[in-house]
Order: sequence, then C-alpha cells, then structure tokens
Amino acid sequence: MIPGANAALTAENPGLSQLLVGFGWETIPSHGPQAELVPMAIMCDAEGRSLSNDHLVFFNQIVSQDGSVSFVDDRDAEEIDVDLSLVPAEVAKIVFIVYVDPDVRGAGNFSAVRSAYVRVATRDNRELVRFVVPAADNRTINVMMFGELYRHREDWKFRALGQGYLTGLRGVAADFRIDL
Amino acid sequence: MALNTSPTRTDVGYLRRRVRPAAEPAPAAQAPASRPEPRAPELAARPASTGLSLGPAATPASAPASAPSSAGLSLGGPSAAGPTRASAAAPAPSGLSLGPTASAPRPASPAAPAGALPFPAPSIDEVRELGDDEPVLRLNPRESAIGSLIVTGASSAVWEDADRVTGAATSDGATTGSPVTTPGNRPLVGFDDSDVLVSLRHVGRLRRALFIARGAEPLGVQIFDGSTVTVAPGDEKRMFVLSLLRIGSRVELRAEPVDREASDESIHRQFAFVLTPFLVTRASRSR
Repeated sequence: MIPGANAALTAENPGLSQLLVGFGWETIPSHGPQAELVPMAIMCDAEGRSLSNDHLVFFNQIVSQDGSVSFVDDRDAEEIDVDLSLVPAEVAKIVFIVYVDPDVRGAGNFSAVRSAYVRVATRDNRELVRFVVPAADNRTINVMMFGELYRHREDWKFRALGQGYLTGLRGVAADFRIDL
Repeated sequence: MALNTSPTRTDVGYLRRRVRPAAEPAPAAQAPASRPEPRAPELAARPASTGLSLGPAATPASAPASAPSSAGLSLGGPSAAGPTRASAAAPAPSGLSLGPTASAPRPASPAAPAGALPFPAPSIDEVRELGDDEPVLRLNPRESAIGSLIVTGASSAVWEDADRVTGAATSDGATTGSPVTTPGNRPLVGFDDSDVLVSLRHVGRLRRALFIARGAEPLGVQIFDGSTVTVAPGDEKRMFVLSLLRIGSRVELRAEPVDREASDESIHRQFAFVLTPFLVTRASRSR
C-alpha cells in the first residue's frame, strides 16, 4: 500500500469480524538512550475526535471498555486486536498511531527507525493488508499515524496514512481531544 | 468434564490472553506480498491439564479438535504466552497450577487488575501537597505510562522491580544494590543530575520505589502533562518520604512519615527494601 491508499476488509472477506493489527520496526542500535516506540489505538467519532480518554488502547490501558479493542504484545513488535462486531456504533474510525516515548533523557524521534510497518490480519494471522511506512527524513517526527480502520457504509476499510507529527503527543492530544 | 465455554473476561485485564487456534494459516485473501510464519507451534503441543480452570474460556468454538483442553485448576496468567521465565519444557499440569504454563516472552503484566483498586484516591490534579491531610494520590493509566516521572529534591532513591531486584542511589552518585536498565538504555529509576527519573514506558517492570529528601528543597513530582505535586516537609521530629507503588496499571504516590533522625538504611529496612547484591558479569572468553 502507499500512503492514502485504502483496502476493503469486510466487503472482500464476508463474515470477517476479528482483526489483528500488527506493528513492527527496526531501530538503529545505540549505546545511549534509544527511541522507544509505542503503538496506540484511538477510537474516534465521526468528527475524528476520541470518544473519551478511555477510548485509547495501548500497553498500559490494554482494553477499551466495550472490549472491542485490546492490546496484545505478541509476534509483531506489538499487536492490537479489534473485534469489529463489538465496536460501538458511534465509533466511525480507529486510528493507529505510533509515538516515541517522551522520556526526558533523549526521547529521540523516527530518524533511527527503519522498516516500520502496520499490517492487518485475521485473528489466525491470515494477512489481509500491509503498509510499509515510507522511509523519509524523519528527524523531526516523534509521532506517526500509521493507518486507520474506518466505516464505509456497512463495511470496514483500512487506510494507510504514514503522516507524522512534529508536536508529539501534545499535538495528538489536541487533535483528538484527549488528555495525555 | 464439561469444557469451560464462558466468554473471555475483558474486565479482568491481567487474566486476558489471546485464544488462538492451532490451525495452519489459510491462504491470504488479498495476495499479501509476504506471508508470515504460522504462529506459536508450541501451543499445539501444549499438554493438557486435568482440573478446574479459572482462566478465560480455554477452547473457542472454532478451535480444532487437537487443541488442548484445560481441565486443571489454573490460577495463573496467560497460558498461550506466559512470562519470560516460564519454561517451554514445563511438565504437564495435572492438578493445581498457580503459575503461567507456556514459554513465549511477554513484558511484565500489571500486578493487579485496574478494577481491583482497594479504595478511591484523588488524582494529581486534586492534590497540591501530599502530607497529613492528603497522604495519597493515584495517577491514571495514561499518566502512569507516558514519558518520565520526575522527582525533585530527593537525596536518595531506592527501587524494587517486578522481579524483586532492588537497588538504591544517592544524589552524590553513590549506588548500592542492583540497577535495573530498560531496553531503551535508560535506568528504570535513577538520578539524572539532581532529579530522580522513573522511566514510565516500562512502568510494568516497576513494583515500588521510595524517595528521601535530606536537603532544604522539598520533594516534588512532575509528570508528562506538567502536573505537579509536592510533599510536606514534616516537622522537627519527623519528615515525609515519598512512596511510589504500582497497582496494576496505575502509579500511586504516598507521603509516609518517618523519624527525621533515621538513616537511609534504617528507612529502607522499615519499608522492607532489601538491596540485591550486584553481580558484575563479563563476556566469556575462549582461548
């Protein structure tokens, strides 16, 4: 996939309900503090805002209240499971971001990151789509939107994004109206 | 014995696990460029247990007939992907099992479910100073996991990780016990200039910590969103130390009164910190 491209998920795979969204990357080794990447899913309404602070899923908030989105650290660097049948009707899309943890000791950015990808598969790991984030000059990028699941009429589709933030999690918090 | 067909408990975070059929992956529906390896073959070979299972539903309706059935008492965590120390060669549980049973490495999971908080506690926005009047506050899971927790004014810090590895450091650079380093090449807890920093990206590895102030500056805490809280200095006979405890996915901060004349070592003993001897290892050499 290329940035901006989309792929039909449920229309092409009738009965598809349970998805595995996997993330992976490589970082250039360093003896000093390294950039640590963290995936996060944000469940958004039709306006693109997070429904609430509880509609975030990441390693320390591992399941949404409705149980539809849950964090699993597994075969990819990180994985997030989505059960489309449990996603509330008011959720129009689920955005998957990856942020560089803002540790004050050399937080870093995406410049040391290579071969980053997001992939969508069935729960038994039958891969449906994969988006390799294009390598670019990412020295000022500290949050990247990898992709999103979104409703399209009665179906769900996946869109590749690959858009970076220069403003870190504060920019994400402002855009999605969440407290971070 | 009938199979446990209850639905997966999503309200109990630390008991959640992926219920994964052991079937071979089917062909890709949209011609992927590359197909990953089928996952976790050891799962199919996992031996059956014989007894009561208190975990999530063991066998989904779609699971193959060869999927292991859980019939033993199991109070452990995820069995499909247990903690790092679990052994792949673990014997078949034939009855009572209190621990995880499989081998895939996972990060330390929260020590307790988020819903199991023992009592309500104010947030950091509701407390200006921790002391006699407001002895405790609790951070939410986002505040507990993003960036650095910065403790100012501390003269010493002691920590204990999830594996009970314990160490201490002072503001003048002295260290005792064992350090805990995270995959990002940062100490889990450690001094950075005059501040103590806690790496919240790895909060799951931290069990507790204690911070002591001996100087004129009071203890203070700052988190990623800029929220701060200070610790009351105490009086002539007693002072407050700052206790940090991870409860599930939340960090709890508490001001604890101690005798002002007590030494750091004495305070460590009062709080049952037993420093882990630090073993300096080196790479093996071949002649």
